[in-house]
Amino acid sequence: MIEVDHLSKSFGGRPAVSDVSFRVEKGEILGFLGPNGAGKTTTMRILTCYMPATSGTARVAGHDVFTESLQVRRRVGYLPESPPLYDEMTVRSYLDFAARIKEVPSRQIRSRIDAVAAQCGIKDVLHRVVGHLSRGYRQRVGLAQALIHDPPILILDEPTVGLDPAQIVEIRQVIKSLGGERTIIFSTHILPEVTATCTNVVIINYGRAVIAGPLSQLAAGGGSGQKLHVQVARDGEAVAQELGAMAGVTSVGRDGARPGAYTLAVEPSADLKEMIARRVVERGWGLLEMTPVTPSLEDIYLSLTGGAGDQRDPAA
Amino acid sequence: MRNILAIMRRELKSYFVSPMAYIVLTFFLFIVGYFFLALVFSYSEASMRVAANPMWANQLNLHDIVIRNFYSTFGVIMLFVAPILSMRILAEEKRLGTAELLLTAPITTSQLVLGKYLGAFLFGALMLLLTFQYPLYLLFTGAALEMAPLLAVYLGTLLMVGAFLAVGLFSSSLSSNQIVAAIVAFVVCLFFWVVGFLGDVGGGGAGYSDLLKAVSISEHYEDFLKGVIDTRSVVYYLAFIFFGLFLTSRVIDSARWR
Repeated sequence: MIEVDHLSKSFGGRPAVSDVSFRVEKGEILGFLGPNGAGKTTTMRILTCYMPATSGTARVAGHDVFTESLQVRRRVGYLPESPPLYDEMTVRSYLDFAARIKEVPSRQIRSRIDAVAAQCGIKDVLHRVVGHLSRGYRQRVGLAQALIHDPPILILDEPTVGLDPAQIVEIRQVIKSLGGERTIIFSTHILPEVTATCTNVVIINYGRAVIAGPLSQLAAGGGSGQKLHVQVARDGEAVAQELGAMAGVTSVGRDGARPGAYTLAVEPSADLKEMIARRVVERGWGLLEMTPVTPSLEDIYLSLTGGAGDQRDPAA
Repeated sequence: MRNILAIMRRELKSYFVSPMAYIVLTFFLFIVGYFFLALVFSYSEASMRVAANPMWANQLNLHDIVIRNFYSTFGVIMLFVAPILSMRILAEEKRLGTAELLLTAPITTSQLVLGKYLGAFLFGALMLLLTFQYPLYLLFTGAALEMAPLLAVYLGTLLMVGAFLAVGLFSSSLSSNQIVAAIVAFVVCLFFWVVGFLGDVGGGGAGYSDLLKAVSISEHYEDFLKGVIDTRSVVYYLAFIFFGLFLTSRVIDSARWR
């Protein structure tokens, strides 16, 4: 559905995106990860035909973003980082305007507005003036605008930024519900967001795609495995030794200054956790706590740049 | 075509949902109303004098004294009002980020520019339409107002307002700051307004002064005010507008590349 090949963009000689390649298949939800200023917005702006690339090509729904720009724009719904809203309009008239410039047939405009309003949960505010809406509602109106022409592809630039936790969950659910029939790219710098919604991930930094692949591959962490935090009541030399000797445990480390706290690097498997728990209980060390440590974006990020280097997976 | 109309409608509406349209129209109608009254008074004074001295009767012309002076003033007022009407059009879109909606929608740059321009132009046309009440008052009083020259005045004024707004749209595309856009529009319009006066001052030979007059907005407007529809003037204004819109779409396109 979306094919990006060696895409580069520089602003006045300063590269913002360099040599980024990835693929997104129909129905996938792609999480576009990276710290602020990594080139996420620039890549998305190229894909939505807002600006042309300096070099490289991008095809969206089979059309080149540069030579067949209008064809691409008909098929893409785009929510920029700050929702492009006219504060003085009512939500309904704004969506009506968006529908008209996006070539929704006149007779379908009403039903489309009602449909996207239901999808995005803005039915109650249709008559209200956009400028009076809260941040969460503005974001949803922006999303409704992106959906108004029923595009097969959605590109969302940090759709959850600036929302409160409840709103973030809601927006995520909306995005997830849109997946399947639609191909979605959304950018974020929050890792849990990706694990909660996406099927695929592209990590980008300094304008370079560090990794592109399915989420399962990213969870494997480029071979570094999962981490477990284990806290026992009665500490001793044997604890570290015995846990370290178990099959599947790759390393054992002390976790901070607290006695009895360990961090175990393990191969991902549910059985192993159970076995560790049983062993600790059998030995009578007193299992207080066992938590899988979710690797932060920085962890994965560092392990990927440090370990795999310039890894790119075109098959992703 | 539909998306041009959609953009035009939104643009026109946006004048009326902000206080701008009402402020501009109120002051505008106050000023032109005052001028109309003053001109009618001066005409009636002149008629008194003519009544005492019938030999001057053929010099007394309602069109020349009232209509011509009135729309000449209208032109000067539009020189100030047009930049205010047009400053927001594109500058605001850039500042609010709504440009991103317009530039990623399936519309071409020319459609966008045309829609935006027509929205502003219709508002300018509305202002002109509102002044049509004054000739109507004259007609109600049974004054001998000739319709053909009046038509020429309206055509000329419409074209001139169109030219001002084309300059305004262009300068609005240059900046995301409305004030800068208004000032640039005003300076450019003023230049084209006064450049004909330089021709009157002379110097640089007859060809030079003819050239200055030929590019002047006010010189061409004079023709229409006299009640003359000169094809050259019509072409001048249409070319002026086309060039303004063309430059605007070039600016928008080139901004994408940066």
